[in-house]
Amino acid sequence: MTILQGCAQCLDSTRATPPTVQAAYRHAIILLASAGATLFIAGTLLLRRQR
Amino acid sequence: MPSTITPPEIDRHRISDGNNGHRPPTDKRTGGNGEGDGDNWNNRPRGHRGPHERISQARIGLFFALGGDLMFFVALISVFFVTKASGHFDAYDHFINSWLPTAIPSILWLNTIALLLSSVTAEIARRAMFREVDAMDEWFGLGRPVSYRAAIWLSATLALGLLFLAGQWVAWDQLAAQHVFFRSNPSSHFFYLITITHAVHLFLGIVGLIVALAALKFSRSLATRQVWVDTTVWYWHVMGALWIFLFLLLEFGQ
Amino acid sequence: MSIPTTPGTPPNQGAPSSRGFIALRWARRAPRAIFSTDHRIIGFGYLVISLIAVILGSLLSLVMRMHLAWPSWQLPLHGPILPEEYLALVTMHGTLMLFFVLTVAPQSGFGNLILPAQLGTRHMAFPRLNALGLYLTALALIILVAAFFVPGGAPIGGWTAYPPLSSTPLAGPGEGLGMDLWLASIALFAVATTLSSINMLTTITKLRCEGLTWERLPLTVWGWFTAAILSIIAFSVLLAAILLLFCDRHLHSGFFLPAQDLISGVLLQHRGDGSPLLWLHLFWFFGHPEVYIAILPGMGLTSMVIANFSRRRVFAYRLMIATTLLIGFLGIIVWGHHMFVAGLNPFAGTAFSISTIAIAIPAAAKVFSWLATTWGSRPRLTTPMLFALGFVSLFITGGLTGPILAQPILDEYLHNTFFVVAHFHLIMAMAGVFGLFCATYYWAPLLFHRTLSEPLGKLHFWTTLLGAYSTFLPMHFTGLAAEPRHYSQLTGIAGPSATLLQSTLPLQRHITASAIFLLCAQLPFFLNLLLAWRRPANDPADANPWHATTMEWAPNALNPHPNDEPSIVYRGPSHYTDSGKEFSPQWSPVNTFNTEAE
Repeated sequence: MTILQGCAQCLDSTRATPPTVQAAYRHAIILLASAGATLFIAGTLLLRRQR
Repeated sequence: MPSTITPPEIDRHRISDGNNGHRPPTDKRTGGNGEGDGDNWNNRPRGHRGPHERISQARIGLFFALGGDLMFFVALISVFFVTKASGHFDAYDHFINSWLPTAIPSILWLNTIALLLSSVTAEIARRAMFREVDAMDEWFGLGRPVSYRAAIWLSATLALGLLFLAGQWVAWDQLAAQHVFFRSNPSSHFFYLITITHAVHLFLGIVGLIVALAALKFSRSLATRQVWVDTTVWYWHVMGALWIFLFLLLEFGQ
Repeated sequence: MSIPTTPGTPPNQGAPSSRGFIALRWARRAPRAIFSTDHRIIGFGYLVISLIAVILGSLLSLVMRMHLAWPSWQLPLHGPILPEEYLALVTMHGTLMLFFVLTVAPQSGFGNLILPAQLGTRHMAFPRLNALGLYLTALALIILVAAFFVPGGAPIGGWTAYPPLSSTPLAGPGEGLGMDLWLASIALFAVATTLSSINMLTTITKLRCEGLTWERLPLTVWGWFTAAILSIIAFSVLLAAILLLFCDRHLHSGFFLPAQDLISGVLLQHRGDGSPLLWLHLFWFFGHPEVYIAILPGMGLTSMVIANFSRRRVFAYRLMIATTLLIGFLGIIVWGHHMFVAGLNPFAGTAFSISTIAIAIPAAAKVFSWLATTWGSRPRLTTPMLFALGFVSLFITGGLTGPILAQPILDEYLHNTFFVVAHFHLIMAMAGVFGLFCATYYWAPLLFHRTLSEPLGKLHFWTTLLGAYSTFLPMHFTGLAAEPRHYSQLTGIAGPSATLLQSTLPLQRHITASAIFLLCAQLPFFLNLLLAWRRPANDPADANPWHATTMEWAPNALNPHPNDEPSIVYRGPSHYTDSGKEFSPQWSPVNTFNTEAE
């Protein structure tokens, strides 16, 4: 049980993160990044395809 | 082929032609065979060359808008997965995950079916806008079969869409009766967040449908009507597909 | 500076000839100007918003600098700066500059003014959507500034608004109503920017004139295009994050809040199982592309201006297109480097570190292209050219610290110091502002029908360059000496850190003096605009004073008549003879000399 404040709180609560939660973060990162990247590529290809 | 749709002399010289009605409404991009009187669409600036180009422009705008929307929901879904896995340590150092799956009211199945049906009617309306025979009939002055046919199916879409929203309202009501509110649990946060943001998007779709219906009734320009109906229906389809995904997420992903 | 009238509407149509009713005429015409859907009027509207924001933001930074160097200094009519007021200054300075200056001016402002002409089109794809974007942006600025005047004052959470401190009014004054206004303002801004980006992307995709293939597009257009895609991707995620933070503040959810938290001595329990780290992910997924949204249009303009005044083709044109897109693409997947010290998983940190350092490759390619374009070319050192070269200089200086900060182990030490402040002010703020000045001087003959004064412009450039380096370079040293950022006061701290910070105080005073100098260096710029306004307009025959080749310099490109022939593009930009005397603009069917045919 920890009571913390500010950056230290953020850091310590992150370090106490169990592996399942870390995996969830990892998946979320991959989901966000791949969705953004796909959309970026799709937009660029669209410009290229329109004449 | 182009010669068959060249307008008679009297039509070509009518003024105030914002590509509505007077020009053959089916876009062949041939530009007819007139020269020098602005009749050749290829000589006109981009975006003014006929119905096809306006539709394509509207669709591309819609594509980018929906791309932004997609990212909005992707962000919500990422948070969904992280929150679902998150927990805290209690006084005895036990990891407590407070996520309790929200029981999804079964009326959502009915709503989903209504939304699927509405997509079908919307697609019929959209295709009706592009029936060349009807377009030629209108151009010859034989009534407005395009608007007529599309308006019926679009009204059906509107009714089914309103039915869906009403059904969502009932679902929120049922959950409230079971004392499941937004604040109850992390999973109920997401149930409400996802259904409400989707409902807001669908409400925008309803507004789009109403505008499209108004355009069908009042607009003289076939191109304008086509743009409104086509764009709204594509938006409607995407919102339908998005709902299927969100629904499956809520039903089986919790 | 004459604001162009709406094409197709004759001025004073049907107005009574009496001259006594000027006020009445203005009252009649003002709504038409304000609620116009003409992209040029909208572009000027965006520039006005930016101008207000940049003046306000600079004054806030001046107060911050004064307070840092002389903590007991009293702001006239206000008194001493309290710590929470200092944090409010930091927050509002960052928000105004990032959103309302660096996003609005290059992208929406100059984008609206110049982009359609560069594409050879007379209108944008969705003029009403475009106008709506302007109104929402103006409303967002009003709401943001209103936060100063509500009880508790402006928010103090920084422009990044990290929870848990941004999630509760307990965290300090300004975190109540002020923070709510901040959220509302930024949410509106996100919607507005998305709308305006949709319009811009559709315009670029669909409304290019005949012959303007994607390889012939000027690099400015590529900059705007990439920035607009990034805007759509990034601002949507920001909107979602703001919605979730709003729920945390008002609807008792806990997406970003840990189970227990001690804020200002109050123990908050069981608010949720979330983590501030989640906000950091969402915010920086927006925040990093935002940096490229601010800088990419400037990069494109720099390429075109350097080529124009060197009378050379842009070195490796297609590579420059590719690097623009690559910088945008990589910009989406590097956000984690803002979170190294927040307890990011080391594996994720390594991945983000690698992708961040990878950005150095396209960025370095851009620098080499700029240098190769101008190398040995005897360029005409006009004011816009000087500002473009200044952009390159600041981009290199600020960029070199990028790969340093991209390494988690170095960032661990440097992250909360002024080193980072120096880094992003040089590469984003100063380079971005130099891009804006370059745009203003370069396009002034088109926008105001007047060329800005060269001597005043050069005075403006050299003093601004000196001021920029003198202000921000020393911050590297104070940062290495561990001067923390976000601290309102560096004196009066107990322990050994006091001696360390004491040693930076002379430099602090130097930085503050330089900042004042930098602000005063902007006076020639405003004087220049004022003098230009009073001068008669340029001769229409001299419509292309820089002998530029891109479409916006074609006769009447900015004020096309509805009956004009549609524009046709015959070649890529930057075709000059070796002597540089002759050139073939994109709109000219005649090739004045024989170069390799496209």
